This record gives sequence, structure tokens and C-alpha cells, in this order.
Amino acid sequence: MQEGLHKLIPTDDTIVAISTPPGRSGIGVIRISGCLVERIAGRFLRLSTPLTSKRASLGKWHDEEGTPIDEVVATLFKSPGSYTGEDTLELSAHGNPLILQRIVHSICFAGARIAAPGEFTMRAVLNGKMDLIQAEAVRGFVEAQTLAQARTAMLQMGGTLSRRLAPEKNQLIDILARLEAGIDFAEDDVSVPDNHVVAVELTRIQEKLVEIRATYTFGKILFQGIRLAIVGKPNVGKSSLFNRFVGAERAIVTEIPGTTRDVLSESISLDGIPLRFSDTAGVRQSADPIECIGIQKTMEELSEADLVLVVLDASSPLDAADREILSRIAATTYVTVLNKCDLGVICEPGSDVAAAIKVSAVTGSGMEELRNAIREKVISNGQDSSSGILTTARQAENVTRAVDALKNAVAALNQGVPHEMVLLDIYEGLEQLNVLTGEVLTDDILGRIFSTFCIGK
Amino acid sequence: MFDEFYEVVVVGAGHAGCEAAHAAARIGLCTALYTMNADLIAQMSCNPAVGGIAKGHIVREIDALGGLMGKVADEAGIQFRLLNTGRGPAVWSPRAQEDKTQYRIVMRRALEQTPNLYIKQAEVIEILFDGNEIIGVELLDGRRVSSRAVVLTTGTFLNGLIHIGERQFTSGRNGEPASISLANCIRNLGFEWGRLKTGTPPRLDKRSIDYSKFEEQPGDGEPTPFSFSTRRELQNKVCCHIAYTNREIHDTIRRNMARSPLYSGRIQGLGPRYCPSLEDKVVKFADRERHQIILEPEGVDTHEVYVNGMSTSLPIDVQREIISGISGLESAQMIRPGYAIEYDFVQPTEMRNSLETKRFRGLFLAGQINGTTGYEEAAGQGIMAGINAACYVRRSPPLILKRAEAYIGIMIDDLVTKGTNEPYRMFTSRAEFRLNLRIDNADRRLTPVGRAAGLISDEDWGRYELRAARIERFRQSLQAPRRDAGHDYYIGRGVTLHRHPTVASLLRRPEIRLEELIREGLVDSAEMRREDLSAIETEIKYEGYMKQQDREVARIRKAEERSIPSDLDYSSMSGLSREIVEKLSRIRPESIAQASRIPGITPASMSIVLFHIEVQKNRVRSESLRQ
Repeated sequence: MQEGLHKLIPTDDTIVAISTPPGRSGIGVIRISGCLVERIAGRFLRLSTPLTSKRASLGKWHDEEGTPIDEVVATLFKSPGSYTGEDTLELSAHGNPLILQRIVHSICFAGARIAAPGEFTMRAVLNGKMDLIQAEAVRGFVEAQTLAQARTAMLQMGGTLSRRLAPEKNQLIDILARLEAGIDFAEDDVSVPDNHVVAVELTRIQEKLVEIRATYTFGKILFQGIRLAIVGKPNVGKSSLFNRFVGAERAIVTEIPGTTRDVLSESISLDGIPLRFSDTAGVRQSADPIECIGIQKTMEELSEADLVLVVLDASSPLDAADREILSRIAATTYVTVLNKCDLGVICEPGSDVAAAIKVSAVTGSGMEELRNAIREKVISNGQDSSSGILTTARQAENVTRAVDALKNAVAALNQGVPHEMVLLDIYEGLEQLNVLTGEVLTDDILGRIFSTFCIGK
Repeated sequence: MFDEFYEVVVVGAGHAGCEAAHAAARIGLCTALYTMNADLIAQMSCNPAVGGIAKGHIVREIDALGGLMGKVADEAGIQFRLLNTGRGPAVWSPRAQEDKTQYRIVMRRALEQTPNLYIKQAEVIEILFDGNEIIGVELLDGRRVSSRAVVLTTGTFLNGLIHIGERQFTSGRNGEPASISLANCIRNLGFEWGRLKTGTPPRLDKRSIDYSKFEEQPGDGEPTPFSFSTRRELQNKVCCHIAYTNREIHDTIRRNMARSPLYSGRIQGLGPRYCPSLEDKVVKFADRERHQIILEPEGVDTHEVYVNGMSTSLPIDVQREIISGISGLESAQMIRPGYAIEYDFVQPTEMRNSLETKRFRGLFLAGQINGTTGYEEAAGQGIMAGINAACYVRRSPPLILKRAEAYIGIMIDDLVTKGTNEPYRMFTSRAEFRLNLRIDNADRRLTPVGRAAGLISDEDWGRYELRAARIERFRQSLQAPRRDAGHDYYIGRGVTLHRHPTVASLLRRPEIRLEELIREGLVDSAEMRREDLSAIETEIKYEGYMKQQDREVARIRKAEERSIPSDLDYSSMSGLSREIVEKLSRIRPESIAQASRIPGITPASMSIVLFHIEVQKNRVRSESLRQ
């Protein structure tokens, strides 16, 4: 039984975190601390100048398959001359959440773990780096802990995640109780569970956990918001639509096609889910170099968006530029919008394009329908958040580890490994879920044994 | 002012008291063992058996530390079985039926042969203090005995109250008086205390039992001893028999439930969930058609038979009716009725890991007074209390076994960290590092510890070293490449072999068993015990699991090493809830690892405590640097 072990955050492994706030920014910083730092750098980082302590080097970060992900500025701080006192690597990559996540993923793949709130500070203190941070750190750390708890509690909708995981945890405790009873009360009149039966039960739990892990796709949206890109050829009224949503003259609207050169973004809340709208430059072949960069950015934005609003001009027929855009977004989740309906509806997108919502950004007609359509896409794409979902990468990591542990247990049962060893994997699975929900158990298992089996002489 | 002078006084000569007195005396302290009846030293008040799953582990550990229980149980044993051999060696555990009378005789002889140990018959009625420091005890006859340390092992005697049906009377054990004065003295010391309940089944006359109706449960063909020092051949002299209750008996019990002190509310103390009375089993598992009962002889020179599984406090006439309802026991004569007993215990969170109370220096508690049940659990605490009483007198640091080191360590840590509200019994599932805590390596884990404490004789130490060397040689022989490792034998079985395989590499294959290799003459197992062979084979075959366990041991060790200052002020820590502050202040965990095991402590609060300790430490360090 992993008595209290899950309450102890390990202090000798390698941790990683994105240390810039979530969302797009110019630069995103990833920090890694621990004994694996140099090994990780050696594996993924191709440098133009060799890595020396406290000196920034430019290089390319590759993923675990050797594919380059991004250009990064890497700075190594050798122990003890770092913030945490351990070997630390700071990576400045482009502030694109997808890229940052892929980098973190490769680092975890190499054996690091996503850091808990305040964990870098905690390590600094454990390693005697008090001179650097002083008492300020104490407050910061405690706040991180409390804030994280509050945020997790909020995001877990008052324990819905706990409730959602309860049946799986309960079944695991049940299996543990039966296997333990078979060992501890072999002398009593208890029936030893059959390996095959337990393996089937564990597989079912594992499948459930995989399902729960899948909620992270939606949970991430809920936590970080939905990236919604507005695209269309120039002058179909994307910026007007954007302004309608945002409710302010945020984008510059003119009659001249190509006015929007940069990607503008703004957040609004749709049923509590933050929607981050990006108004993009119109997509067309352009000779203007500034506009060209804008168009390239639009295509980037498209690839990162959770939902795309394709804007067509209702008052003119579908042309080649529209078709080009429609073909580019075919693989994404999108909503087709016919703007300028106040000027009459001529445009017919065709049967292979999803039913279009007719709006007028000028009069505001159809906006409610558009909101509903977005809502529908987001909700049908994800799950009902009230049933409990995973919202952070750490949570998803815990569930993945639980799934892996149960997989090992099933394989071991099928090979006839003695139960006292198989139990290690099952306990590990439960421990990972306990980290998520923060509950303890020794007596749960003994209690279960005594209420299930008539034991004793 | 004092009439007699000792360095250590042990009160009570049950299984805890005997080990405590022996350990303190063996270490070299002048020790007195007080008992109310010197004829009943090491009395087995309940079942005539020692060991069992997890309990057998404890007996091995006591033996490895230099204690008595294993040696005595081997000598007085009359039937031996190694349990759980269908599983891996980590959960194998020895158990033996004992001749109760013989057990007392052998234990008393062992105590009498221990230098520095004085057996005394007298009733201790009061503990004497100077401030919060122990100075001795007072006896019923008026004598005052000076002692630097006192170990209380009072069993069920503190305000003992026996229940049989509607009747109840004060008693410490069947037929013996309770300790009322001492109980009142302890209640007045300010400890958090409570009442627990335990029970015992009726005893029958062997001559009135028709054994042809029962299934035999014989001992092992090759008995496994408890003690590493037992050289002689152990012999099975008796057989146990398996019987079952039936529906009619359950109906009888249900009909008489109102007369059960357990269900009429007369018993307030909480009994163990894993050792329920028969009436408990019938109520809680109403759908079961039968419950198992085992008839165990109480010795070779007695006709008395223990009815394992039939613990009850129902009235005697109902007990008789139940017994006669079992086929084969129709005309069984009852020698003693079953009964339930309630007694005082001290909440074990009152103690440190050394088993010394937090309130009084020099006062140690062991056995049922700490809320445990079982001879083995009592003896395991007894030996530690004895060692630590000696350490206290000699002003040396206490000996604390870690959870990764011994079941005894787990038991004491559980008790002092979590307290208990039912009699605590050991299970292998309480051990998070179960794979490493085996009976075969109890000596490797603990004999060096016992030697350092001064409990292991030169003779036993020599034997230990020989055994360790023998095992190491065997282990290495399995790792050496062999040109002759039975190629024909394996090729004949369709196994593809690489050149010069080691036996270890063969053993990693799931289908190849060490037993087979020995049988085929490919491995020489000369002088290796069955349990050692199995342990070595498992270590090779399931290396991955062993390593996984080792990694966790290493992780917890770090947390064990992070000690918590005993004067840490939790109330000033921001971020801790009031409930957690209260818990931590009451239990005062000695390490971060122990703190993490306190129920209700959250991972975040653990990190906060750790953080504050380190900040404080760093502050002190930098201040001292500045000066």
C-alpha cells in the first residue's frame, strides 16, 4: 500500500513547465530543472554554438522523432548556479501554445514530469538558494499552492472530476481488496479471484480512463479558451463581424480591401468559455509585402484555431478565392457565415459546404444564430463540462500514467505473475488517480476486505 | 525511600513483557519483570498457535533481532505449516500450533537463563514520577521500587471486564483478577484512553468429539522453523480439524441475539473487524450458509481443544446449543465457555516511535495497552520497548525500525501516526514494500541491527555470517556462465539457448523454474532452505518489480531523512487549515514521511510544511554564517 507516498512530491526528478502565461505571445519560455537537463538538451537541441553555463545559444529543438519543432534560444544554468540550485535549462521559443506544448511533450517523453505549482521555488528552497529569493518566496509558494487548489477546485466544478473518477477508483479499490484478501486471508474461507476475471475488469477500467483522458481536449479549451479564427477573402466584412462580437470598434474597418494586416485578437465569453477571436488579414494573392506576411500569419492562425469562421459575401456569387479558402479549411472545424445579408443573398456555397448562417454585421441580424452555431460546435466537439473533465496537462499526465500502470497489471496477470507484484501496478494506477483527486485509502481497502469477506477466527 | 532498585522495570509477563524484559536484560541492564502470577508467564490466553500470515513475519523479525518468541515457539510447537506457498516468497509465512503449557515452561526457562533479569511476583499499583520523569513503581504490598525506565505491558488487565451472556465480572484474563488500581493510576495520567473489546471461543474435551466427521488439516511434511537458530528436526505431533457451522446454528444465534452483550449494548468497547465473534459473522454475513471452524488441540498433555472461529460472548446455554448443533460435536463437553473482554487502552498517538510516551520520560508502553491484538504484535512491540528503555537509561538514541525495514517498524509507525479505534492486527497489505520484507531475509534485514543493540550472541552472529555467505555464494553461482548448463535438456524442450547461458538468464524465462533445474541436477542447492531458493528465484525472475520497489524505498527514504523539529510551530504557517494544524500539533510527526501518513493531511499541506521547515533551516544557517 502506498502509504502517504502520493502526498510527497518527489524532489529528485526532473521537472518542466511553460513559465509564460497561457496564450499566444511573442516569446514563450520553458523551464526545465533537474538531473536530466543536460541529457535532454543533448537529445533534442541542435546548436550553432555549444551550450555553456549562463550563456544563451541559438539552436533548433527537435521532437522525439527528430523532426525540428522550433528555433529556440537556450540558456543552461549549471548546478548550483541556478534559480533552483539544480541544473536548469531555459528555452525561449516562439510564443505559440502548440509549439510550446510539443516541446514540453518531448521533454516529458525523455523522463521529465510537469511541475506542480510553486515547485521550482520549492526546489530552490530545498537546495538552500534562500539568498536568491528570501521570504518573498514563502508567500509566493503558499499562494501558488492555494491558488492552484482554488483554480483546480473551480475548474473541477466543485468536485465533479472526483465524482466522475469515483466509479473507477471504487472498482480499483474493490479489485485491490479482493487480491489482498486472497493474500492476507489465504487461511480463511475466502475465494481467490481468477486472473482472467480481474484482467477483464482492469481492462474495462482502463478503457474508461482513456475516455476520461480524452476530455482533456475540451478541458484545455475551457481552461485556455477557444481560438476562433475569422477567415475569408478580403472585404467580405470579417472585421465588421469581429467588431460585432467584440462589441467595440476594435478592428479598423474601411472600404479598401486588405486593411487588416496583422492578426487582431480579442476575448469574449460564451457561456463562461473564453473565446479568443482572431480577425485575420483577407486571403488573396497580394504583391504588398506587409500584406503577404499578414496572409501567411492567417494561414498559421488557421492551423492553430479550434474553430474557424469562414466569411463569405452573401451579396456576390462564390468565386475562386472563396473556393480556395473553403478547400483549405475543409479539414478543420468550421462554421460558414454569409455576411452582408442586408444587401441580398446571391451566394450559394454548394452542397459540400456546411450549412451557412446568414448574418449582417452591419445590422446585427443573425448574430444570435451564429452564437448558437458556435456553441453547438464547441459543445458537440467536447463534452458536457458538468460531468467532470481534465483541465491541465498535469491531470492528463496522471491519467495517462494510471492507464499505463493498469496495462502493465493486465499483462502481468495474463503471464501469471504473483499477485503481490501485480498489486504494485494496480496501486500505482490508484495512486495516480489519488494525486488527481487527493484522497487516501489504506483503511478503505482493509474496510472493503472486512465488509466483503467474512474473515477471522 | 525505595526498597528495591532496578534500571528497568517491566510490568506484566505476557508476550510483550517477556520480550521487553529479556531485551533490556540482555543488553545489560538490571531488569525486573513483575507479574501477578509467576506460574502464568507467557500464558497464551487465546488460541494455541503462533504465527500466521504477516504474524509469522513478525516472529521471524523478533528472532532476527535476538528475541525469544521464535525459539520458544519452535521448541513448544506441535504442528508446523508454512502458509501461502502458492504465492511468491514475500507472503510466505510460518505458523505453528503450540503446546500451551510447554510454551510457558520454555519461555520461563529462557527468562531464567537470562543474566540481569529478575522475575518478581507482585501487583504494581502505581507509577511514581518526579515531574514528568519516571522514578519507579509502587507495589500492592507497599514496597516502592526504584527504576529509571518502566515498560507497561498490561494486556487486557486494565479494568478488564468479562462478558458472558447477561453476566459480567471484572477479570484480567480467564480466572485471573483485573488490575484496577493501576488502571486508575493510568487513567489519571492525562492520556487519551479508550476501551477495546476482544473475545475467545469455548474449549472442548477432545474425548467427547467425533473426529470422523471432520476433515484433517495436517502439518507440513518438512516443517519450517520460526527461528534462524533452530537446528533440530521439528515434529508434527498433532492434527487440526476443519468443521463448519450450519443454518440451524445461525438461527439459534439469531433467536438469542437479545441475550448477546455485544448486541444488547452492554459492551461498549470496539472489537476487531477481522476477528469477529460468531454472532457478528451471522449478523454481518447473513447470506452465508456456513462459517469455517477449526478444532485445534491446546497441547499434547491435555484433552482441551480450542474452537477456532467460534469466539462468542453468548450465554453459556446458547454456546452449548451451538456446539451440539455441529455434526461431530453433538455430545462435546465444554471445558471453558467463550467470553468477551473489555479493557482500557492508551491511544497510541500518545507515544513516540520509540514507544516512549510523549508525556512522561522513561515510560514505555507495549502490547494490548497500545490497542493491538495478537501475541506476535505484542512481542514485536515488547522487544522494541525493551531495547528503547535500555537506550533511554543509557542516554543513547532510540532504535527505530523503518517501514521499509520491518513489519515491526510498520506496526509501530501506524500506531503512533494514526492511532487506532479497533484492536490493531498486522496484515501484509499494510506493508508498502512487501516484496522486500520476507521471512527469508529477516536476518539480513535485522540481525546486524540486533547485534549493534547488543542482543545477538557471538554464536548466533557467527551462524548468521555463515548463512549470509552461503546464500551469497549460491547467488553468484547462478550468475556465472556455464558451458554445460544442460543444453541437451533445453534443446529437448525446444528452448533456444545463447552460448554459455547463466542459470540466472535461464530463470528469467517464465517457463523455467529453479526447482526443475535442481531436480535435473543443473544447479546444486546444497544446504539452501526452500524459502531462500524461492526468494532468489523470484528476485531474478521478477527483477523489474523488485527494482520498482527499490525506487520507491529510495523515494520514501529521502522523506524519512527530512526530520521535523519537535518544536515546529504549525499554527504560524500560512496556507494550512486549522484542522491540519491541530492534527500536526497533536501527533508531532518526526519526519516529513511520517507526516504524510497522517490521515487527512493533503499533498499541498505536506509541501507547505516541508517548505517552512527548509526556509527556517536556511534562515538559521544564514544567520549563523553572518555571526
